[in-house]
Amino acid sequence: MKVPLTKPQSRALALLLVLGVIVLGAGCASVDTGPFTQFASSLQSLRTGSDSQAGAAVTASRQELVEKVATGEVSPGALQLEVDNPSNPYVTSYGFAEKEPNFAKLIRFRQGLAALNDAMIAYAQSLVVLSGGGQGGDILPTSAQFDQMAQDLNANAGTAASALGVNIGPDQQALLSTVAVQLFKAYIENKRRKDLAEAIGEVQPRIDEFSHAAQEAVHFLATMVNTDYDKKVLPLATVQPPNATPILNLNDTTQATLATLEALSSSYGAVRDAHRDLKAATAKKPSGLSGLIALTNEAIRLQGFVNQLAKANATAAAATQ
Amino acid sequence: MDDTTEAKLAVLDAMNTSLGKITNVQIRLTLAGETDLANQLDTHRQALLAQIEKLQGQVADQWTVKAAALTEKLQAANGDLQTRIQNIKNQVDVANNAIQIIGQIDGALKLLETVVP
Repeated sequence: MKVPLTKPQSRALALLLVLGVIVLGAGCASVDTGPFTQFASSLQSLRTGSDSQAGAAVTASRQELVEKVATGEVSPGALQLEVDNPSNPYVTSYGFAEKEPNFAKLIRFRQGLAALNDAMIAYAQSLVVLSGGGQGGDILPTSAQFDQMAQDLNANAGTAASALGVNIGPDQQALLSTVAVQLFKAYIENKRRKDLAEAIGEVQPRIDEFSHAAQEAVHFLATMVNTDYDKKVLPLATVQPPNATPILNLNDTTQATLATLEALSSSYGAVRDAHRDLKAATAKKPSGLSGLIALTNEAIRLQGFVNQLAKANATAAAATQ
Repeated sequence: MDDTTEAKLAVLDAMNTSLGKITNVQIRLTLAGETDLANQLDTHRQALLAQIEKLQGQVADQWTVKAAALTEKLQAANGDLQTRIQNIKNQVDVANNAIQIIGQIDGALKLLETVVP
């Protein structure tokens, strides 16, 4: 699972910024930009939450490797990097190790998850622009600009899909199918809400896949936390004289971490209905939008758990000093 | 992740459940002064832990095995483990139950070797 740098991601963002300032003189259907902005903002919270959790898994795994080297279970020689291919001096791996350390795999996993989040955020931001909520307001991209945007979005999503094993569509486009691109372009050219709604509907299966993959990634992180707990609790529970405090501290941080991961999983689950609501949000007078409200609430709940976890970690760290 | 990832995650969950139960037995044996049994169990617990870590590495790297049937077997083994833990808690035939648990871990490891050779 090799994750290349997401160059198209920065290109897509740059293009979005450019689109924000170019005046093309064309008006557009008046779409309420609020729901689109809210969707993009919630996805940002999910990215922050998932990256910090994946980062914690990498750190824990790295620390364990350090301990294994200290106890002689792993030879320091296994940590030496090797250039995979002499004609490509930029890529190295743990080629001297009998098996690649898990922490190196987790680094790639974290990058894959970040790529998935980036792909969803870039898509959400492009919807904000299309709804007239970008810096340029009602000014929409041209068809040619949208083609470039779609290409970049698909490249980003393709990176994430390959990193996390997400099934991509029959036309091999990771996020925006050929049909969806045509519908978005029809919307740009004709300014009909109906085209935007249909385009969003066309992307729905891809969003479903991505949100499901993100939930599985979070589930995987939970398995890492549970294994780590059983490794740590044994020496704490058998120490003499018995001492409950370190066990209870470990319990607090473990439960806080699992609660955060559960909130993260629920948030990713809520992305599906929230995106479905964006289709309805293109209507002249949108109503309901309960999926979007649920996603917003989940993102707020997630932030609460993240704060709680930070407190539990700080308490545990203070107790060990 | 691919279609079968959910099933693979279920295997990891079941293995973690086994690990939690075995860890509890080891804690109880150690605290009861059954050092030999605790040490024997520890060897097998370490082997299970190594297998879990191997699987986690593979999930992170998109491992591809069919895992649903294994989950079922592991869940059944966990049910049996629970009964034996209860016996140890109640001081019923502690040594025999601990040895049976060790045998079960070996069985689970053999099963898991079919997943990760």
